[in-house]
Amino acid sequence: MCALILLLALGLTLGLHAGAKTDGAQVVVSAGGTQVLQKPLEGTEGRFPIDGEYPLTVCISGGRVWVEDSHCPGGDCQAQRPISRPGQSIVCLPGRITVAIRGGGAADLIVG
Amino acid sequence: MNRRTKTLALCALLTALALGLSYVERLIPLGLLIPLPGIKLGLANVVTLFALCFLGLGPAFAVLIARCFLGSLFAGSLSGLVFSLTGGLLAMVVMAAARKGGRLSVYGVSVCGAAAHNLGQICAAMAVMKTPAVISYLPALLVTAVFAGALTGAAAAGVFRAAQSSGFAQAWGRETNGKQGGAT
Repeated sequence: MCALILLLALGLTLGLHAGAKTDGAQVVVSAGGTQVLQKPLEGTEGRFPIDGEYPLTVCISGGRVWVEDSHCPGGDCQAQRPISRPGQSIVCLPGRITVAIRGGGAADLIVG
Repeated sequence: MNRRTKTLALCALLTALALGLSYVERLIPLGLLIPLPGIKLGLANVVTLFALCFLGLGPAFAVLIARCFLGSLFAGSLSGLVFSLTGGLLAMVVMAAARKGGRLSVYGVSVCGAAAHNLGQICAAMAVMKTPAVISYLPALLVTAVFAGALTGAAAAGVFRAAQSSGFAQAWGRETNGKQGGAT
């Protein structure tokens, strides 16, 4: 059973990231299901404050994306490692904010 | 004291125990080691598994619902209710089915419950956040579920052994006309 679950995890990982290209990848930030920011992953450098019940700052630099200065109670979003590939995302559950990378590849079909 | 009263008292006791375990596991900084939203050991799952094995599906369902509602109430926020309820209900249904299959040990049933709990929480997160992007967390959560489920399975196995050796399982089985108490 454990092996089956681990295989499922591996299959999901491959399905989410296989074939995903960073060329033309976009960083998309949504709050409560509404898109509030979209920036190209490559070439963007900066800090972008996101308003909401628990405001946070999305940082994009060197083809990587991470969260800083989150006011949410758990702080899980801020503790997560930077993301850099299409299909990856950072989620702030209390703030209902999603930071996702969309790109030219298979992941486009999965991450909306 | 009749059987219904005893079952009710045991359900109340298990609910209190599950709430206590939920509180205790918040003190374990698992998120510092594995920074994933919603990650936890799932110690309260031991109580669900115990209720499922000794009391049956109905009382286990009642304990789960009471634990989720009271836990959200005591935490001062109802926003987590949808996550704990969705994860908890899916875990219980999967554990009940896995146990009925009869091929899995308590460890296997517990691992299935942990994986189902995480799957339920991801589904709830997708609905709440209105985006499928959160599914990217599922692989990592499934891997952690294997370890967390084995750990809670070990705890549940210990509780079951204690229930057998103390005579509780046999006494409860006699009182309920042998309908329950078959936890192995």
